[in-house]
Amino acid sequence: MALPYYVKKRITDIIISIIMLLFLVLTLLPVGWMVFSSLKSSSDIAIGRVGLSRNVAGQVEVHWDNYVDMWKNVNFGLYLKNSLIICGSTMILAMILSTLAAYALSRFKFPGSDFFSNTILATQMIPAIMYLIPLYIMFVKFTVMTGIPVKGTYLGLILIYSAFFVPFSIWILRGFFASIPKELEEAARIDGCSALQVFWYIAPGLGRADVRLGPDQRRHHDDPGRHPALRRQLPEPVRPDDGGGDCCHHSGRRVILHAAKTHRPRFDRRRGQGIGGI
Amino acid sequence: LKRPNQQQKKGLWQRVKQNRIAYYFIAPTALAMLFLHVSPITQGIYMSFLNLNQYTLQSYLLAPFVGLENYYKVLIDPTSPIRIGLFEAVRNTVIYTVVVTIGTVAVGMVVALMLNRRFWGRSLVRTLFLFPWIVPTYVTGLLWGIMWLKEGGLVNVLLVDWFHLLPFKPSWLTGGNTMWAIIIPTIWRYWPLSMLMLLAGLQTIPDELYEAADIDGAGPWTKFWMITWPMLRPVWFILILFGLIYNTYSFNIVIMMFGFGAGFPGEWGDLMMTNIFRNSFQLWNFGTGAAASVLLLCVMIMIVNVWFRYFKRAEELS
Repeated sequence: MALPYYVKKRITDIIISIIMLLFLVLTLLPVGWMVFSSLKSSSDIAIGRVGLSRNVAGQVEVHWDNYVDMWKNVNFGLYLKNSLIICGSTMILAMILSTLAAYALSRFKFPGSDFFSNTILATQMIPAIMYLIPLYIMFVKFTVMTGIPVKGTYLGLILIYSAFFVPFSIWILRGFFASIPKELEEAARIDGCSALQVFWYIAPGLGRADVRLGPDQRRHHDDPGRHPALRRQLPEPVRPDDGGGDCCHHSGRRVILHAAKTHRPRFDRRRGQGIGGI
Repeated sequence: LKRPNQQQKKGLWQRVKQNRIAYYFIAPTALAMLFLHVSPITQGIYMSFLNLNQYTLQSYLLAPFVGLENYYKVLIDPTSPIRIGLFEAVRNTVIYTVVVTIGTVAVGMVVALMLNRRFWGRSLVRTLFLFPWIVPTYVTGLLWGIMWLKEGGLVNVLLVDWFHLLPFKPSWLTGGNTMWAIIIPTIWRYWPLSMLMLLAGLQTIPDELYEAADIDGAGPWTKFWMITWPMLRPVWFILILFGLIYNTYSFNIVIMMFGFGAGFPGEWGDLMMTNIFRNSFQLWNFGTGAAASVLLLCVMIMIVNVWFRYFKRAEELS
């Protein structure tokens, strides 16, 4: 068939979209089933009744009271509160620890760095079931010895969850850090940032880069100046400007943009990208 | 931020001093890992040489030392409960891990390719695709356990009553079908993560490569295998690595699907982890459970090493 190119492309597009929508329905079906089941009586769920529950007279009844029960009898509020506290604290603690460690691993080649990253990976290979009894007994003893209650408290759970969450985060974040051009940091160092300051101004932008998937991030490898990590304003350069040319009244950010743009695009994309850019 | 080749020439102590800041950065993590990973694991390995059961648990590490008896029970002793189910558990774990890992990456890849186009409602569709990922694994097990029911389970209702794809209602939670009943929910739960990571990887591939391939007259199939797949290697390397590890230790979905945490998954559904859990916490043989965990750990370390080596060689060849 001698269809023009754009018609063919359009037809392929539509076919792909239809397949995608079918797949979307299949994916959401279990979730929808879960929501639907929440409106049935528990006995009907257990025997696997397909439709909504019916009362003795055969009329359909929607069991909204499941949701009332949840708050009144199951004490859902307490569990929600526990989850929020534990999850929130774990997130903060694990993010701090893993960002620091991942940054150190991706930027510095120091004695022991290979050993450290291999140990992190090795911890992932240990069956979690092996931890249960030793950790429990350690926590009991720790509580008795120091008086800091880690058994049966928020603190204990937060510590354990962080410990299990940090290794994986380090591996993921390391890829992101590897995808940020080093030139940015070198430029920042020239402008007088300390290593800690460099970390402080690069890391948050990185966090933004990994939650966003916009097409505008697509080319940040070609042009470090447009990297999302730079959306955060860098501080005024510590070094007094020498009054020359461009950087007179510019903030540190501009100076770095200028410096970064003069660098050539990265050629080792494959190595640099890691799993970054998410 | 120094060049590595300059560092090589200096002494060890000098290199340590030069990278002081890096040590400050990893110190909190290293300290925490010492207490929460290294120490319990050392105790766990020691536990595998002890006769630790409900009577001796009180004395914990002072329980009677029995040497390799626990390992004998796991591998050889034909009367011990863990040895009886060992073959099935190993077989199921291997099949399950391989199929789930490959399936997760494959489904994620296909959907990522479909999403990597410009169309209306792209971000909405992407968000909706992430839905399975927010269902907790325990709930996934419960939910699919109900969906697989023979009478009135959603799967059978759809397959038989609505679309008439099968002439009879198969029972999914007994016999050989159990394998599918645990594999499909796991893939369903985990593929959005690989989709997200592969999609991010896709967006870093420069368009020029595809344009050049177009000029050379390459079809979509060739373009995928010659450009997309090799360019995504860092992504699928990590996905498969962690997929192998996590799926071998998969526990939540399977245990919740059978008897809501108390049942036996059957000879085609029993995995290593459920097997060890049953022997440790339902039969109270902590020493034997620890021995089985240590053996599993050794096997995992070997597998991961092989995967790393394969990857390194592939990297050198390219």
